Amino acid sequence: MKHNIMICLILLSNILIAGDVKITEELESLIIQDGNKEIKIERIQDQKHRLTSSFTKTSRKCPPFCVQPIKIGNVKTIGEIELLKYIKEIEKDNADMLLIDARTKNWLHNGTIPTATNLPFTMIQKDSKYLNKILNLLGAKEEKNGKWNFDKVPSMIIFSNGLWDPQAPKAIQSLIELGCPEDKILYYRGGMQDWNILGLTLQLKED
Amino acid sequence: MLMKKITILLLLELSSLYGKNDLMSGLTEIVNKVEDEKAKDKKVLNYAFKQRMRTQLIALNALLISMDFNRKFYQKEIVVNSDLFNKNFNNLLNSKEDIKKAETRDPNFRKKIEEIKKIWLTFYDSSKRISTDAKDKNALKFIEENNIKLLTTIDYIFTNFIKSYQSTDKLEASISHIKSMLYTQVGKPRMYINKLVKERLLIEQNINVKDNQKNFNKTIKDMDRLMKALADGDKELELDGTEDRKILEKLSISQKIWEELKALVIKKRLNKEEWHKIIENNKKFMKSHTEVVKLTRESNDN
Repeated sequence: MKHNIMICLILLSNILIAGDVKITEELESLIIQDGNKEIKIERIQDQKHRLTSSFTKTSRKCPPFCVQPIKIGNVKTIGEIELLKYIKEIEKDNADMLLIDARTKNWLHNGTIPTATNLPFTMIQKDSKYLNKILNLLGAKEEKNGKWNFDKVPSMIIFSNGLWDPQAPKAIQSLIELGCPEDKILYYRGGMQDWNILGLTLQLKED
Repeated sequence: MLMKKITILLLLELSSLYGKNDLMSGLTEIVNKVEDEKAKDKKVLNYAFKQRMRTQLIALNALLISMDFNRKFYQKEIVVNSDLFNKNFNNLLNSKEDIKKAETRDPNFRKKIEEIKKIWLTFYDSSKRISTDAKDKNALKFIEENNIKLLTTIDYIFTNFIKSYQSTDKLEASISHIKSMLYTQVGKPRMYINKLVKERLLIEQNINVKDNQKNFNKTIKDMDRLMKALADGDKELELDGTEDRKILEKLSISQKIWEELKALVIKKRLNKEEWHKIIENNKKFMKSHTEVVKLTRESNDN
């Protein structure tokens, strides 16, 4: 009997603990559909959890890993709450917004933000041999004067490893130089560093 | 009317869903294509990667054979190791486009490859001769005198191959430089351990004792420094160290084996049992450190 009560108490405490670590006061988690999969974006519920990955590092060689500015030109910078709102919108309004992980592929081993598409910053540089193909896929049209028209390109939320990583800023600068209107781009500066530190759900990409 | 509206809305939704999936899979396809190209580059680097260590392993095998230390076993080993070197070296020679690419960055590159070719042909022949005749003094002498030259030239080739794969984009190049330095250094302890056991054996045999003692002391110092640097970082070696728990765990295993081996090799006199222990630990270290190399190359720990 005593044993059963103990089990019940443990189960009850687990139920009470579950959901303690919310995203915001109102938002516990976000369920999205990615292809055939349902993904629940939430924070790690274990309050004793500590990061053990390279995101625990305080110091990296600069350059290249220098602290990034809060704003790139007139591009709007966003945080996690806004990003989550957009992720939900991406699911609803499919073609109009794209979440882009601008890191080169070797950085993706430890996961990315759910629904993100990997488009390394190196591939949207002016000298990239894949540039035309990528811009065409995105919906850009090359005009007679050689300039690109971005009217039909979806809005893009771009991120990389976070505030110390120049990969997303470089991707954004390249897109602006190619003629992409700044209001088509959003910069999630916190990137994977902040996503990890908040214990938010990661999506592991298959190699 | 309402049904018609719903149908149109559903069709619009479906076409936009199809469009987005198309766009995402299109982008993924291009990124994967680039990755496949990079994988080909890695193949060439793999041809050069273990060759530094093999030069020392072959020289060590030759010495053990000449000392009649588990002779039959090492006569088989030397054939396996020199055949592997030969196979990888030929693969490297056949990677003509990659050699061309490396040559654009370093005009001496082809000259260095020719240098290796010249030494290697006799080196390979010498190791084959020792595998059938343990007392072939000329073959042993050639291996003893040329293994370091072979090692330094291979090291040059490896480092320059890595450089030739660096992106022309300044940012990507500076990010990948950090990784390149790590890849260049992480495999080196396997080479050092064979080199120092070989040097200790030469001292034991009274061969060129002064020089070999000097080299031996330096190898121990280099090995100690590098093992520490792989974990904690070293500014001069351009290593940042690692936070990766899995790598640190494997590194501590390698470190433990290294400490045991070091405690023995620095002894002035060694008995047969201790020599066996050294050789056994050498093998154990190679196996354990290969795990460190594998994990490092897979890791994203910048």
